[in-house]
Amino acid sequence: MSALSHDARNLPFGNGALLRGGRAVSATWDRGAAGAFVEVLFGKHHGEIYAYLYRMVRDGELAADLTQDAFVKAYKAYDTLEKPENARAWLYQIAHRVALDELRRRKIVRFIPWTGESRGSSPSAEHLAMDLRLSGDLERALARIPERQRAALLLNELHDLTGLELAAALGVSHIAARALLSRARGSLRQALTEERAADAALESTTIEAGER
Amino acid sequence: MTMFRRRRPDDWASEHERARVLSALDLVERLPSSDAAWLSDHLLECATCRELAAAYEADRLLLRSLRDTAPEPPRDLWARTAAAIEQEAWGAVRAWRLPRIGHVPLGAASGLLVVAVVVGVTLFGKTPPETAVVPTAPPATPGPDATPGSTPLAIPPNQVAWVQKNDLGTYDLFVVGFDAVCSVDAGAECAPIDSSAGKSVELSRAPGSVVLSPTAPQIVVVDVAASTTGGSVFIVPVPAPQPSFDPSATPSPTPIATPDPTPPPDPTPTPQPTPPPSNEPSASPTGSPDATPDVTPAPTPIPIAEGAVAIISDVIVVGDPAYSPDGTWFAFSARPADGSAGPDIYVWQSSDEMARPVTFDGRSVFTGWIDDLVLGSRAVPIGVIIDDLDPTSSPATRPPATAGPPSPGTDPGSTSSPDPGASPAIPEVFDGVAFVLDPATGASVDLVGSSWRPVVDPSGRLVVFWEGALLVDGTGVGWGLGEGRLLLDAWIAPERPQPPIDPDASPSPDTGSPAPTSSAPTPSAPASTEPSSSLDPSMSPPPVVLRTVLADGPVVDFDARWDPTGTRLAVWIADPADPKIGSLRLFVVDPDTGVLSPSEDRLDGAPALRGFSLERGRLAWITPPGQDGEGSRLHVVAWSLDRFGTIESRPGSELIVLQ
Repeated sequence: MSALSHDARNLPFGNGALLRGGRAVSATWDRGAAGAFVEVLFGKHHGEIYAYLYRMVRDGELAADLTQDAFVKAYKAYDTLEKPENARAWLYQIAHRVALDELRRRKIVRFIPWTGESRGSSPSAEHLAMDLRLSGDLERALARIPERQRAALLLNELHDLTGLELAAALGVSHIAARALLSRARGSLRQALTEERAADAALESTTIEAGER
Repeated sequence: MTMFRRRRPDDWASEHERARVLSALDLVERLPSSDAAWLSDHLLECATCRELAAAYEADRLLLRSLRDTAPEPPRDLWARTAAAIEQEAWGAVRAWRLPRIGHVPLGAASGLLVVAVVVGVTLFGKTPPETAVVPTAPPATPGPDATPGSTPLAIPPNQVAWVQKNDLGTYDLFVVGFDAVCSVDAGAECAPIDSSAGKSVELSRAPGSVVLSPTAPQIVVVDVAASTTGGSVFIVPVPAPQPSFDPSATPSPTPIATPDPTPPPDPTPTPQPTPPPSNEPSASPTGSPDATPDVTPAPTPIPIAEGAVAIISDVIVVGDPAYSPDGTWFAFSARPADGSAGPDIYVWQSSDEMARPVTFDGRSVFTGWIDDLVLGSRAVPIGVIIDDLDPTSSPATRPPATAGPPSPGTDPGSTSSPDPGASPAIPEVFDGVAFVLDPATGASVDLVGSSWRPVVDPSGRLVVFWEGALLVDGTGVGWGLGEGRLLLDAWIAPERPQPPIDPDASPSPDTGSPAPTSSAPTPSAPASTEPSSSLDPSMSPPPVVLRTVLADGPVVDFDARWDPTGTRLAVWIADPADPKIGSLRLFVVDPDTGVLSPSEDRLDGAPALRGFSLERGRLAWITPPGQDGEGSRLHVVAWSLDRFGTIESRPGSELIVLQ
């Protein structure tokens, strides 16, 4: 028979792997602490992290994948957390980077000219599909403003990150975070105004068509 | 290249721009008094800026309204994340070993209380601990008589449930949460689990096994008689979820709601003997999915608990029942109590009054779920034992003398259902054929190869199964394990079973169906060589796995279960001398390779009664009675990646851990 008994021959690591000196033991201990810490962190914050990522990428499945990525990165970056009391902002910082990475990757993908359309001349199929999924002018307006501004608004208004926490999550200085948030409010205002104007125009057109 | 210069506080393009920025900043944090005063004055004079400030405030309120529609993360998010972290851990350091729990002194002497008692919500919803946050009752601190230096090991909130006989002779269901265990590394002695507040349901008589619904506030109780002389399977409502696991919730003073169970059927149907099984390797056990056995009026069984409803009676339940992962279905295998036929698989869902059979050959057993599909195995005769050639050698086999096309009049005792009272018959040898079955349609697909009681990991990549001979057991209508071994191997899921397009063209369940079973079975090879995209389109290709022998014969009985992450595998092997007792092992499995961790035996074969519960982060079982002169205990080991700890209940009698 082809089956082998389960013994050392089947194992990719001999017992010698256990004897890498103090470093291996230390690594094992740290991993255990990291794992337990991340599990607790997940229990407390996975819902809000998922919500944040969902609103950043507007795709439930993708948001779930990114949430998973964020916590895996948190596990790997456990050593970089200096103060446990800052864990929430630290976690948002990781999630924020994960989201921006994904959005950048998506932009790169979008540049592939498979649609034959030039960028910016007309909404892409992706944009159209995305718009269909969005509900309300607020979410459409949010989708239109720059990602970093959107992140700043979401973190501040929906996730209650302020001041230094917000700066830490965004990976910028306190002053830069304030400026970003200020610009974000202006951008949102403008986007909302345009969305509402578009809504009004569409509604007017629909009414006119109905009257005819 | 853009040059930046620092803007001075008074360096604004216009007063309106300054007002716009300050209006926005005013929503972020308190403005300096000079800026606040200036803005106030400006807004009094500038209607446009005043409108903009009001609009910012309105936008803010609008944004905050999104809090009411926070998207819910998927329920399996932790399982996915934990598996990813596990893989990350495997990539980092692979050589770690769990301490042997046998080295841990456990007793009632110490004062380390490590249990927070919590009932309700997470149990009956099986809510992942990640959503449970922190139990309301915090873990107690070490008592004054705690072992010096002993340290409780904090773990994510978890829970365990079990049934135990009480002083009144009835049985209590306990549900207990915990977020700390005794650190094995520290060699701590711990206080037993405090179950005083965990009592949930009282059962009037002994259960044989109990299964929790993953979604509904109910349990399924198999009457203990259903394991021996014949009994019933009950659906028992349990207290509805309570908010005690949610620290933000306020305990409700209202009584616990009791769900409205399925109306009690009257009379309780009794399964009729199935037709004599054929000698042919069976046939897909689909038959008519709507077919139900003839109903024979039978006395309504005495409910085992308040509100309990029997979904089948006068049966002997074979193997372990289980809910489907989404809680929609409940499946088990059972045979008539009168011994007139072998086992068939039954399914039940909340809309059904009674369980209904989905196989009809009298030799199929339920082994588990793959998403919403039943995974079962069927015994098929392959020969008889010839042991008169050399009594010292292993029994050889030859084709069964009675093998041939089945006929309705064939004496089942001479084929696959031998009559135990008949003259000494030549022992027959059977082989196991696994199949997946859609309980909704009854359609099934057989798998190629010899595999009995396969158990597939949640990611659908690995399988544990018995490869070897099956022998008719003492009942004459069941099967025990002969020569063979328990294997871990790669699993390639078959195509999803499709019901026949033309119902008239579908084969009769009695005469067999064109099962795709190969005439030259390849051990453990699947029916389809293609990875099954039909079961899970996102499923990655199966791992390249060296078949690993988990147990070699003679094996009397086994039980294998995966945890939800697919990285932990617990295997129980019965003691040949007393099959009620066995040894339990906990393996860590690399999901990519199927290779067990360097420490192949995590528990060092801990003594355990049959029936254990393996969930994410913990394994629970019942220790055999009589150890240290005490009764049985519920024993729990819990881990968080590399950390590993353990807790126990107080000794008691007739404990059963809930699945």
